[in-house]
Amino acid sequence: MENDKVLFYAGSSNEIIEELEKMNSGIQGRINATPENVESGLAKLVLTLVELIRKLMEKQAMRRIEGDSLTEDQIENLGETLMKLENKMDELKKIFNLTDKDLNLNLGPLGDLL
Amino acid sequence: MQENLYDINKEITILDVLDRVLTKGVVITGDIVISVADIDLVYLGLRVLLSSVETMEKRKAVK
Amino acid sequence: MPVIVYAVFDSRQINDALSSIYVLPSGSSVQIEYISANELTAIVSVQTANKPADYQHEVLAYAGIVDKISTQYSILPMRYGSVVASSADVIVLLEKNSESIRNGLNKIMNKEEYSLRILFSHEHHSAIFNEECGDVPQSLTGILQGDSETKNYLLKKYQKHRAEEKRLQYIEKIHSFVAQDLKKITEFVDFNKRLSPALIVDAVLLIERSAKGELLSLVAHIQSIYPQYNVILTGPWPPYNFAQIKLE
Repeated sequence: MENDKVLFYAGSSNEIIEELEKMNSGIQGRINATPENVESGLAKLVLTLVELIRKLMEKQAMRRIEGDSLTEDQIENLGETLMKLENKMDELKKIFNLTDKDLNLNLGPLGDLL
Repeated sequence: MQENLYDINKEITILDVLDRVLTKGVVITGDIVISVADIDLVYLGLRVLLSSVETMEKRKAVK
Repeated sequence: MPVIVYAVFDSRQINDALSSIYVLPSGSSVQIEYISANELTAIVSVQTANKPADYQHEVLAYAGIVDKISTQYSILPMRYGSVVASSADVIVLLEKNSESIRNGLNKIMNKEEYSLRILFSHEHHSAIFNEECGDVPQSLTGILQGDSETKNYLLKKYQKHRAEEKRLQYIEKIHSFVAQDLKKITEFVDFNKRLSPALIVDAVLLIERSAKGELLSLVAHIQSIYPQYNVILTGPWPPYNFAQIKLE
């Protein structure tokens, strides 16, 4: 591959490279998948989905609060549920040795979706 | 342009190439294809799932 | 013998020798062959390696070949991993899908793909968004403020949610501005929705080979309007992002 693909850029090159590495890590992860590490890949996959759904719930809850249609009790309940869910998720992440970053990566669409 | 243009060029080129070659381009489906990148399917599956959740949510938001 | 398929193009573009050898960076070489049917030609090589020893290296070599071919022809590039069971099957593939291939080719004929990205610089990013976090509408302060742990938790969540919404609106604004500018030179623009926090625009565009100069000045213009961001343009690429058809 010829190295003349960058036609225009501005700014600090270190920042750009750092940012690109972040974007790239998903691809690198895919490339480095082997039968040996595919199992931890599976945990990551499942937890990513769980985390996605949890975040969706959270966002939906924020909308309901914003909509001002919940009673005091409901809000109290909601807060408790969300808090417990988040704690549970943190435990699971620890068990599988995953960080937020590992799960966040594949959650890209979230930024757009809510 | 700055002096480490070469590094940037290399980094971006590799990033862009991998993304394109592995996730874009024409897909051949069916029996006559032997995929050498079968592990990809798992991740592609995830991607499809995520983007369909995205679409679903958007539809919900429109309503 | 299985063959690796690199790309498909219109046979009428051929005007030179029908076989070529690409020397890869590793020093090895690949014998490229052409298989034609229905005025369409597939560019293939016989599969040599059994199992790629170095996956990334293989992928880059594959991409390098597609890239070289695309400087010569207007092609539909295949996704890596398209290994077809036999040459005869390639002919079947071309015949069965000639219509969708033809449509795909018409779209990309004489065009090339570019990537346009706009990044926040770190400094600028925190200046805009960090200070906004505390903002909660009047109507909700009563509901969310209190002594209970859950309320505090919800309030924090809500503040984060607001900050995120603001960020999205801001990005949306820049998007529509850039989209409008790009419309001047092409109707084929795709915005990637999966963005990292510092990446505000990640777009691929398909433009006429002859419009490269226009694109460059447009990008310089965008940079001059938004001096606080880093604008990056890469290309020309084979039209991977605009060749998303499925062959059966």
